[in-house]
Amino acid sequence: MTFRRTTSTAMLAAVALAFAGSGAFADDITIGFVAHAQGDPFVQQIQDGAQAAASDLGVKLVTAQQAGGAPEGQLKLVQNFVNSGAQGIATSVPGESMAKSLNDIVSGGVPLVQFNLLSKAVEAPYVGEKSVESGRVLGRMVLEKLGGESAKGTVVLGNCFPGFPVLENRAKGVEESLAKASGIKVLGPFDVKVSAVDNYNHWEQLYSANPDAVALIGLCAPDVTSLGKLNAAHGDKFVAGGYDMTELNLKAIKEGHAYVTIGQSAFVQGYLPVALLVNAIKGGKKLAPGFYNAGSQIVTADKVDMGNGLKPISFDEAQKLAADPKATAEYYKPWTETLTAQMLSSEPKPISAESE
Amino acid sequence: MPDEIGVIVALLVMMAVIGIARPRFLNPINLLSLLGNTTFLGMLALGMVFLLAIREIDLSVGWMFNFSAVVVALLMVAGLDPWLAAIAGVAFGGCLGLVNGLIAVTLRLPAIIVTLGTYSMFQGLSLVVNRGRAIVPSDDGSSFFWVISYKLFGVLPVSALVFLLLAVAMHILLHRTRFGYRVQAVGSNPEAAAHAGIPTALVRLQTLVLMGAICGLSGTMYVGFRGAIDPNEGSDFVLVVIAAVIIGGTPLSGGHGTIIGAVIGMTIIQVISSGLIFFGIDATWSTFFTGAVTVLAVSLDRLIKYQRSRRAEKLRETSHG
Repeated sequence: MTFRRTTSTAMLAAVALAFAGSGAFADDITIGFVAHAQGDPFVQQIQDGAQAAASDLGVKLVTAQQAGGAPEGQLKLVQNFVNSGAQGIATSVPGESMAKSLNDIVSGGVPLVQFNLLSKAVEAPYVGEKSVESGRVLGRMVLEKLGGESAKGTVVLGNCFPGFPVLENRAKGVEESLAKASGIKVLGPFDVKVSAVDNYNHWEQLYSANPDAVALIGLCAPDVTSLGKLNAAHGDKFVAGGYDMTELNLKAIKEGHAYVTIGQSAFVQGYLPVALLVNAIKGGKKLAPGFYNAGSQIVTADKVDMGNGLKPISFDEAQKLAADPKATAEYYKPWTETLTAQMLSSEPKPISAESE
Repeated sequence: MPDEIGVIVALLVMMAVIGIARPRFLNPINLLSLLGNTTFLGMLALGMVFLLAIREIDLSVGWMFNFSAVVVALLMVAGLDPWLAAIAGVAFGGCLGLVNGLIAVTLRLPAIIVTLGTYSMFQGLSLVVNRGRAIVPSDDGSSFFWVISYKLFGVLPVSALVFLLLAVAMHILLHRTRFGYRVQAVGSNPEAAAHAGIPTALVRLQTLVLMGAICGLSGTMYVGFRGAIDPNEGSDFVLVVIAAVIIGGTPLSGGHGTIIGAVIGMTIIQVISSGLIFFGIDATWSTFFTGAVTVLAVSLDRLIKYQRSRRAEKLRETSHG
């Protein structure tokens, strides 16, 4: 009996320890950070940017991520942060069904900033890329590689999250640029899934079905890596392009299996929401809905354009930054120093600018 | 003491631990918010209890939820009165369950095999219908959205109340009606149930239709509460629903089910998720802690049940001795 009682007590203690593992924080301001696609290297880079902001601004950042991109799970995490007393929330918004409840949070006095994925129905600012424009840039780069407006052949387009407005906009931009070559036939966008294994399998099937495709273009972080592997396995026969400056994407480009990746300023997408929230909380100001352009990067093996007025870097340096959050934070210092209270308090662009 | 005492104790221990360390957790608004968070998946768990009790598992619940919600939202967009659309949504969910049931019964296949296929079929059809986009019906001019979103006394969402009422109804259905007894009899020993004259195929069919109708109800309530349905919503529901039912004490071996346990199981999952955030446990650690605390909670439940059975054995020995 004594043994049983001891076991029960030990178990209760274990439950307590499991929950009480984290210590108390002394900072006055706590920001809740919620993201989709747990384990995705690009989303991790955004979170690293948010951590850098919290460290620079002396606030506590608490983070939560959910696997995949289902809105209900993400909304629960946001609500839990609000209930736990977070003074501000930064979250990606993977669905319209989050809008109503997020607006309740905003009207309840908790400032909120959207990043990476948005709902235009949410009455809060959004930090991200100009999605249609970045698609245009990607389409233009691939088209130039194929020979410009005289190019011919089939281009396959893949989308890892069909239905996400930002990704639909990217597809629109890519198709707009490719339409300039009348000999190009675009297939898709097809659902290529987000997990690395699923993503590669879907691209492999698409290529098997379209072996004469001259280019394969993805709209999400895992695509360039998958397409690079696929191209390597088939003798580098097609032009591969996509998004995000993850280590594996850059490796695929360096090895010559992929041509271009468009960065969407992961660091800025993490840093700026936290800076906006801290400025609003300290100043007691309401955040106006609107669009903050995080900027884009264009990366090929020959050239790295980092945008945001940052100094040019070599491809090797870009690879180092992708693998090192501290080095990234250091590299972005000239940009973070431009974030004055005045700049952070200025009105954002209208949300429609995101999809211009 | 009820069979669910183990999970109830596990839940109370967790809440006490979190509440002592983070008193804000016990704020009634937070607790009611937790209850609200259990609503949509919790409803599905109620239906899943019947399926596990009959030795079946339905893997398509998330997409039946999604497809029904999409149909409801599209009917509203098309101009149908939201209340009528809601009724149609529940009926549509029931029809999806009927598809599962007819295939399972006609081909004499386990529901898990059938729903492995219909999981993708319903997802695919839903994507075809919603064209890969969120459906956002207008909430003007109808009391439907107002009623579903309304908070009683300013705190208790109507949807949570519907969930609790449904739980009571399902508890009565399982433990106080002929259908419920038949479900448990078929799950306990299908051959014996057939010999006793229970139409086992019909009971399986009815259980799968019930599951579909509950998915339809949950999807309909979701559209009313959130005001929209996204193309990928429901994709991650099935494992959480099955986990809640099993944590609650319904065995995979069938023959028995507990609605109260399923409600507690779903609440435990929400409390773990909330507790991790209240303690500020980092996202990279939270997945591990979710699993670890779930195992601890289930272990605590089993330990209490073991102690109860030992005590009962001793009492029997004493009375015989």
